[in-house]
Amino acid sequence: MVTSFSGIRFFFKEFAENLRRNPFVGLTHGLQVIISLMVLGFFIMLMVFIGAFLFSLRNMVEVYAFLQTDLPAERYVEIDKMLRDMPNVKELQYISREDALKKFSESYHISVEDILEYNPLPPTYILRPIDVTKIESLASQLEDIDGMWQVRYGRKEVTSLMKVLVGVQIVFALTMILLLSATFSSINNIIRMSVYSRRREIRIMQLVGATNWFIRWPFIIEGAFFGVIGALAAVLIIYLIGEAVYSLLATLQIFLPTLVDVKVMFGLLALGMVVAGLLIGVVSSLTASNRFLSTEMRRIEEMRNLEVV
Amino acid sequence: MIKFVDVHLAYSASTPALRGIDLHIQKQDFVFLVGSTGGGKSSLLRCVYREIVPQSGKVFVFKKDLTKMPLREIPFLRRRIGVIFQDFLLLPQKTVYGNVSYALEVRGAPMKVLRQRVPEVLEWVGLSRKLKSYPDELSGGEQQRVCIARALVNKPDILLADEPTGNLDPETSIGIVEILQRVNVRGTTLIVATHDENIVNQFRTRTVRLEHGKITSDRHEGGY
Ligand SMILES: Nc1ncnc2c1ncn2[C@@H]1O[C@H](COP(=O)(O)OP(=O)(O)O)[C@@H](O)[C@H]1O
Ligand SMILES: [Mg+2]
Repeated sequence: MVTSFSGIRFFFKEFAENLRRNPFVGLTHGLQVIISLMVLGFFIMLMVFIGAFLFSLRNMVEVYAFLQTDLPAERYVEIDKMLRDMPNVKELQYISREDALKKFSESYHISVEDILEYNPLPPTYILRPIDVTKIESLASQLEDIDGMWQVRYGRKEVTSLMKVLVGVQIVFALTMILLLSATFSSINNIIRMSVYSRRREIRIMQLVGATNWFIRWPFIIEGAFFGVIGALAAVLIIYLIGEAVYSLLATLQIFLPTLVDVKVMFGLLALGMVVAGLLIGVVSSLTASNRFLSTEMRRIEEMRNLEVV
Repeated sequence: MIKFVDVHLAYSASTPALRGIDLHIQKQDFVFLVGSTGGGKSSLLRCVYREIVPQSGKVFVFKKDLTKMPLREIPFLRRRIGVIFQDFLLLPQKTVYGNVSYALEVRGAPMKVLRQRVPEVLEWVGLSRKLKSYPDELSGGEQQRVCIARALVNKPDILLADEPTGNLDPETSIGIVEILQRVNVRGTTLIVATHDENIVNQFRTRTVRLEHGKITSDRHEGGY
């Protein structure tokens, strides 16, 4: 494969030649790559926002079960066992009276015991249902338990909103696949044109004994170049639009809830998109050049299978 | 060095190109392949650098059976075989120097070898003063010499020439074959396919005649 420095120099020289030779093809298809990747980036951001929103809604589909404070110790043990054996419970968290008090004091910066001289908070269980649509029946089951003081849970609207949002996520995911394949075929077209316009060189290379890998490398570099440059341009555009939207919202005195760390998310997005661009570029240029290189072999195979009289 | 054993080849069921070729070419031979157009000369040469594989029979080159050679070994076979054509197959956007160094570059030769070997071989074909010219600034004979230089820069053991003088006037043609002959004298096996009587009569070497895919004569002191 790659053997020497002069080999690598050669690949880049040939790659530069490809760019020089097909500037128009490069430009139009390059724009397609940028646009696809840009829309893709926006979709990913939206998906992350919706994902974070869904996560924050999750609390609203928790069922809070508060026990009475004056039960005999055995009853607490019985109830604990009962709750742990319940079906349709994905997660169960127990908060003791002491923990509840500590949390309460911490979050409100007051010492309750100093004021009341006793702990008014009940032992609490937080349950997450497996199936959020059956949250009501779970709640009524809990209410029937002897020794239960109060049961609270999220509203029904929340669960239907969640369902809608999950649906939206699925639609987005499908659109992303479409956009990825659009990017793939744009780069694939660039390389196919490039390979085609260099068929003379390729023929000469084959005649003087270049290996197929040697022939492929300049095209792989070209594909990777378009993938990465496309991704970087898309990231830049997303950044600029994002900045503009944020400052517009700020002047309008609208502040979005901080669901995610935007800087971290953007960084990850940029990295992910560059990596995706690189991979798509490499894979699609490999497919394009293989397609061309294999025609000769196919021709020989067809001839081999011929019956001669 | 090259051996054909009962080679049959057809491009399609109705167009046979080689019909039972038996041929043995020794190291350092200089062989003319003659015969009318469509006789099978180009097809025979293509079998030698394994651009095509015959449907039956065997082709041995460097003691290897090319009909059984795996694809990945083909580049290494071709590095030992130089090929030149009637239509020179030069790259118009590269200089004379660039066209020749290309043949070394694509097999990953180091820069040092390139800088030494390319001027050397171009001097040998008499093009030292045209290194920076582009193919369209050269005469036909000069272009063909660039092709010879490109084929020779890899120091091949075999040189195949398919109608090397097809596009050239008679005088230039003689000059080209003289260069090829010098290559042969230095130890390279040489096969020249041509239907140019003049040349064949001038050089008087082994001459194999192909008509309709069959060898009709094989004479050592040749002549058309
Ligand atoms: N690439 C090709 N596809 C189909 N038929 C071909 C091809 N090349 C040659 N032939 C046929 O094979 C026969 C031999 O051709 P060729 O080897 O080119 O002869 P020559 O070089 O002596 O003129 C001819 O009948 C020709 O039409
Ligand atoms: Mg021919």
